[in-house]
Amino acid sequence: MRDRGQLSLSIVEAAVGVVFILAVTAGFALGVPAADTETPQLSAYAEDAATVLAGEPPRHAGETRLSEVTRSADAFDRERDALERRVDRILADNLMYRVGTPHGAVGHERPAGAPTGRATVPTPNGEVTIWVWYV
Amino acid sequence: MRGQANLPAVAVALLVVTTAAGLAVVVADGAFASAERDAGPRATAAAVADRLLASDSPLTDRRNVLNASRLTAAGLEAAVPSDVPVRVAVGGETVYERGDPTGPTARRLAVVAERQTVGLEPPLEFETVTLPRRSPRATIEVDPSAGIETVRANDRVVLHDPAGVVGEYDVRLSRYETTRLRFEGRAEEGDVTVTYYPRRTKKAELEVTVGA
Repeated sequence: MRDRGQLSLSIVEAAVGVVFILAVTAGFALGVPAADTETPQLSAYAEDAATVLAGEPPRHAGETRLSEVTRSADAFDRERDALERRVDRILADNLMYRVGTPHGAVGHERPAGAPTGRATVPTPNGEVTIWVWYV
Repeated sequence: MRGQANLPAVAVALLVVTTAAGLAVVVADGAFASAERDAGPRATAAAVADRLLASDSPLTDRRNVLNASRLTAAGLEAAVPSDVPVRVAVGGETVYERGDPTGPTARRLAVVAERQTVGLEPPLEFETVTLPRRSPRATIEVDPSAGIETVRANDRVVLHDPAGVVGEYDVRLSRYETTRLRFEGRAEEGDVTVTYYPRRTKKAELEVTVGA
C-alpha cells in the first residue's frame, strides 16, 4: 500500500469539500448584481424637465410651450432653437437630452447602452418624449 | 496501524475545510453588506423632495416652479419631517438645515421664479402700449390732468369712467397672451404710469439630504 504513494482518502474528501464550498462562495461573490441607482434619478430629472416645459406659456400660440411645438411642422421648425435653448437651461450641466415630437427631435443622439431616464408628456397633437442621460 | 497513519491527514483535511468555510462566510457577509442599501432614508429624501415640488407645496407657484420669496427656512420648517436630520439646498445654497444629515440625497430639477417690478411711462402717441413681457397684473396710475375715459387690455375694458379715470388701479391681465393696453380719451406722455410684474426664472437643483 505505502509503496504506491496513494493520497490519503481524507485529503481527497477535503479537496472535494473545498471545491463545493468555493462554488457556493463564488455564487455570493459574483452573483449579486450591482443595484441600478442611476436610472431612477435620471427618470426624476426627465420628469422634472417635462413638468417645467409642460407648465410654461408658449412663445406664440397654443396653451403651453410643448403643445406649441407639436401643432405643426412649421411651428416646430420655428421653435426648435428656442426649445433647445430652454431645455439646455433647465437641465443641469452634467446631463444630455433629446426631445422627441411628432415633427422631429431636438438635442443629441441617444447613446446605446447608457442608463437613460425618460418622460412622456401628452399634448393635443401628439406626445412629446424627453430622454436624459449623464454626459 | 493504518488508522494511526491517517490521523495527521484527517487533521489537515479538517483544517482546510474549516478555513474554506470560514472564508466563504466572510465573503457572503461582505456580499450581503454591500447589497444592503439605506432604503428608508432614501425613500424619505425622495418623498420630501417630491412634496416640496408638488403644486400644493407651500414653496411653489405651480409644479416644479419654486417661488423665490417663499424659499425661506421658516417656510420650509413646516414642510419637512421633524424627527430626522435634514438639509434642503436650492442651487447649491443651503436653505434649511437641521442636525447634520449624511444620508442619501435626492436631486430634482426645478425653476426658481422671481417677480420683478418694472415701471413704464407709455408715450401714448397712438393711445396704445404693448407690455414687453407677460404679467398676471399691472398697476395703472393716471394723473388728474389726463382725460382718459376707458382703458382696455386686448379690447377688454378694464377701467371705465365717463368723467375721467383718475388714480391708481390694479388690473388683472391674461397670463396666456401678450397684453396690449389701450388708453381711450385724451392723454399725453407722462400722464400715465404702468407698472407690471413679469416673472424671471432661473434653473436650480433641489437637493434634499436625509438621515444621520
